Amino acid sequence: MTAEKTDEQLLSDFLTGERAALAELALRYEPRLLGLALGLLAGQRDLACDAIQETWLRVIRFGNQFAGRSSFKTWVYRIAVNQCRSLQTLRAAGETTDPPPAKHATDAGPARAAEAADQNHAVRQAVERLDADKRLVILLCYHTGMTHEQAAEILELPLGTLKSRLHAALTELRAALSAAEATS
Amino acid sequence: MSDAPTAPLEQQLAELTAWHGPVPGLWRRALKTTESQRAGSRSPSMLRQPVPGWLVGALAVAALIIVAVMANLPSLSRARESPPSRAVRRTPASALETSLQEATGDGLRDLASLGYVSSPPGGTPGGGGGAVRGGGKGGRVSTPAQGTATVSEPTAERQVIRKATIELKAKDVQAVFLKASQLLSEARGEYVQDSSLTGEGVHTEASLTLRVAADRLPEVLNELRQLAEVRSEKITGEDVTGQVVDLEARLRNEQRVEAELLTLLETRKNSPLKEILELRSSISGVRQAIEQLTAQRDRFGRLVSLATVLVIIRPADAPAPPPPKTGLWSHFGDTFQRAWENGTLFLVNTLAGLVSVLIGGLVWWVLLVVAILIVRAYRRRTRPSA
Repeated sequence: MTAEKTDEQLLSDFLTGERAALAELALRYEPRLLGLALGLLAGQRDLACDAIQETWLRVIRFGNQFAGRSSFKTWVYRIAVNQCRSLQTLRAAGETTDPPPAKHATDAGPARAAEAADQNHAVRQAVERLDADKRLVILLCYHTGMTHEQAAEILELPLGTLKSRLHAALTELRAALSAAEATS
Repeated sequence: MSDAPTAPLEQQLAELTAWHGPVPGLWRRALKTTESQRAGSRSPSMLRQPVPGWLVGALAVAALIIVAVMANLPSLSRARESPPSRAVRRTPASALETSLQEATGDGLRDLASLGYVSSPPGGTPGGGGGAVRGGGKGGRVSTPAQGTATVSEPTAERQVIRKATIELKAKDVQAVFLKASQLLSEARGEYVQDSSLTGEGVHTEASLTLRVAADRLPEVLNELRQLAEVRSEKITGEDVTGQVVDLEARLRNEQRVEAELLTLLETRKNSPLKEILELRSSISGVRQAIEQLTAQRDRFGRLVSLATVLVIIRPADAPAPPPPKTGLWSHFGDTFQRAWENGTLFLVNTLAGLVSVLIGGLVWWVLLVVAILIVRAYRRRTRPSA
């Protein structure tokens, strides 16, 4: 039985002409990257798809420049984050948002579902009100499978700086959520 | 104070960056886009599947066979053998080819791929479609293509390049030539791209390549028809909307990449010199791509906005050009004729060579005879008597 190839090996295989290697990389990362892009782009699926397509374009185009100083994961996430930032600045604010469906909401009864949807909505709104840096830090740090070290590497920040920003972001988020609960 | 949020909040935050539903497979689209771009710029692609050697060999052999067959086709051979200097006495077909080559400077193949298109006012012929209309005794019978199969297609955003060829039969070739060249509206940017008037009497021939505003093409053709009797007429077009849209999309994409790279360069001023140089190199590459795409787009724009009309004028009493030979029998006859001519030529060349050796080496022949005589006389003297 052959051992599973690392991301870097797959990238190298792809660069030598093996398409299946890119497919394997996409299998590993595309859903997660899409999810992150969706969070960073306020739930706009079309924009998220644009950002991730551009990310793959850059992986294909500049894959031969990947020097291995970081892991493939942090490299591809950095590209995706930069794409999302670019799209955010390019697109004018005020477009219709398309919040993702609340997966867990359907598992319970209607009352629980409505409550969960409300909570999700409140959290989303509170996150949206954070400034861009804090929003990025908080979404990246709580993104599935992401460690603080990796997040720091993606954002090119020292680990300490990342943690202090995360702390500030969480404090602000909690305050916003408390205020929202108090008013409702 | 702990950084860790409460479990539900952590779950909700994770949920904000979760993707639900099918994965759209964006990597495939990216791969396609990259490959089409690389195919356009003919850069070596690292993404191609490795091709087995035997397949390459088989393809090469097949290509050689095709080239050999194509090279032996009579029509192509004639076209290849006719030098450009023969344009003075060119047939309408060769005149069209050479004129079209001169029209864009990139040869007939480019024209065929790009089309000669324009935006017609009502209905456009489909890509590569065309019409030939007969006129006079020698006119070729044809089917008008305008406004037939493609009438129902939307034309508002269509990008169509059009070309027209019209062959006229006139009593006074020179007068018609002058009138034809005055049909243009310089105010609208129309111009004569190429013109020639050669020969005398029944051998007089004039040709004009006009670039006219696309929407004026029918009007100009009507005016040309009124100048003299039409011997033949042909209108062709090619829809390049898809190519233009693709070009513009690629251009927008490259511009976006350039903007991003510039932003990156601005924000990384303190980065190592190597990285900055790499970034500049990337920007340079992107800019070059933008310039190429812009030039291609402008070229399409020019071809679309100005239709090309080739006008060939011949005297009314000029003999009609012989129809081109086609078919296998004609090909066999041509091959046999060429073989016979080559054989005769070889025989004549051999005889000429022999004569040349005989006359050119006359001095040596004389010297040889003298030498032989001397040798024989010497032998007789030295031979012992019986």
